[in-house]
Amino acid sequence: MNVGSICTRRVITAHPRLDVQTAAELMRQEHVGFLVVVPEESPGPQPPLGVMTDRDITIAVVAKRADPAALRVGDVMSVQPVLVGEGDAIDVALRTMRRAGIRRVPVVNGRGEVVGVLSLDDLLDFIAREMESLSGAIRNGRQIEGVTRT
Amino acid sequence: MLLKDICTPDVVSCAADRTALHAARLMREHHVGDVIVVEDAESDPSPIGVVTDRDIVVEVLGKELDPARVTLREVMRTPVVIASTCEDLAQAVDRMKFQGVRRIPVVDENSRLVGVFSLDDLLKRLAVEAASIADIVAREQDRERRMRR
Repeated sequence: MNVGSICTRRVITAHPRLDVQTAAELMRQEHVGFLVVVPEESPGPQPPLGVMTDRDITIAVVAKRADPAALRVGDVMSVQPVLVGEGDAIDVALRTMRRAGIRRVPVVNGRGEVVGVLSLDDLLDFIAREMESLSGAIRNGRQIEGVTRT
Repeated sequence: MLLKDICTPDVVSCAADRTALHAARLMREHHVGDVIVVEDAESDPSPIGVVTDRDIVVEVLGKELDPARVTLREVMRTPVVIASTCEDLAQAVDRMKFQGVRRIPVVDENSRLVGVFSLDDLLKRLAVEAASIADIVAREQDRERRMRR
């Protein structure tokens, strides 16, 4: 199992010149709280420049009474984002996220282009499924022994 | 396990007639992602809604409203799903699952806000329990090695 098999493939991107007001509307429309910032407006594979969350907007723009229509995504985003590779093992990604203390990271392919987002929720889902397999194996073992060793 | 033993007592609350801007400042200052909305912090501190950092982006900026003018009453999520201090953990978690909420305000027998319980609190607890189970396995092997030489 690697990052590519559990991450979310749907990535909503924004470019650094987009104003924060429009970015907030984008988060509303797309039902996401995490934008991956890429160099160009055009779609297609691109390397991530930074990330911006809904919380960044609340804390760095609204709470400071800054004008969201005047500020750009490039002013608010976190630069040099922590990344994980789609081929990385899950425990490697976990260690990376743990070290950085972040819940969501862009996933990149071998060329360094964004192909997904890995979140704590994806990881929890994965671990919950493994736990379920574990307790399922115990249950089945008991059942099979009940049938075969009469 | 009762909720009063596991919920976080540090909860940030705010009166419903304060603005979204005020809530955003509280979130910045206290490093929290949500504010529990109460009718009045002094006279009636029972939770009536919740506002998150995301609500401020989506319900205020996303609708081109001014955070300095919009009150929490207008943007808060209601009805609020609450839990009580004397409630069992499993019962509260069931309700969170059913309602699809990550955090719930916890109230005492007089409906006064006393804390908040989040999925993060639950996760930390589950991790401790899972580690204890793994530890039993390790200790059992150790014990057998010592006893059955």
